[in-house]
Amino acid sequence: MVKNLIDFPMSRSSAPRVPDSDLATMAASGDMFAFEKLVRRHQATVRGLLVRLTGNQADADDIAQSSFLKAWSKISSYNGGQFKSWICTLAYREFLQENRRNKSRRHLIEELAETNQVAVFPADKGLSRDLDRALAQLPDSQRIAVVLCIGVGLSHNEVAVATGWPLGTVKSHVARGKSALQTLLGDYGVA
Amino acid sequence: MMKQNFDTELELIFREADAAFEHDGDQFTRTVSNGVRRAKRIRRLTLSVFAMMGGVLAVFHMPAIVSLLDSFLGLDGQINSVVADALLNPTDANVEWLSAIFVGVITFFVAFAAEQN
Repeated sequence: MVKNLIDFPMSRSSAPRVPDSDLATMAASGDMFAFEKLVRRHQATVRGLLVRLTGNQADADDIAQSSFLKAWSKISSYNGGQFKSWICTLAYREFLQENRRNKSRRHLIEELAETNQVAVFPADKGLSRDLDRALAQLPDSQRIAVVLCIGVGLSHNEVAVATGWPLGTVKSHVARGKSALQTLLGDYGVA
Repeated sequence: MMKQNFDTELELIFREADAAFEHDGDQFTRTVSNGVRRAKRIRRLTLSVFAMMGGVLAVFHMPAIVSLLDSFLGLDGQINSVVADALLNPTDANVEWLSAIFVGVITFFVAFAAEQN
């Protein structure tokens, strides 16, 4: 019945939105369509998170794809909380793993990004580019905390679980990161 | 600027930036779905190969399995001697039921693999 509802082409506008937890339960029983629906629903958030962590869209999309593949294989371990939080935590851990795997390659990319920072984050592409440029100037820990907390919308507790940092550290990184962003975006004439 | 206003504005900028990923969202979803299907095919193939290998190994180790079954059921070697007789006297009837066991064991492992998928 639920599957029929989400199968129907008009469902995007007229049918009630099927909760993520129901879709995840259906996906856990092997329903590919339900999983596709979850991917469609959360891909923008996950890709946005990863672009801000990697600073590179191609890498971000690769990690996003492997995160969703991992999500498919681990969907039975999803315990019914906020799906966005679960998938973003998984994506963040996938990013860390990928980072470790390609440490030397990434180091090279970072060096290139530093020397060509204007080319990587051009200033004339609107607010989101200004945000990317400002985020790139934050220390890693502050960027991660701000992106997970404000960008994705996780609570401080959820960020603490995802990163493994103490709650106080998360709060302090978020506060400092936001303050730095306010100054940087003010410099660009945004805030 | 008030702190609360800045937080809201920052969230809005993040949402706006994320919205840019919606335009190729369908394509991204298709790529992920294809990846999942490929992973499922590879898993099924790997399990089937392992199941077939398990089935063949089980047939080749039939004497050990029969002995184990004997001791487990407390039949004091009766199954073992029946199987040994059948192997030593390959009459049509014996070959028939030995083949049935062979096919049964292979089927069990294939069915197990299918169940895992």
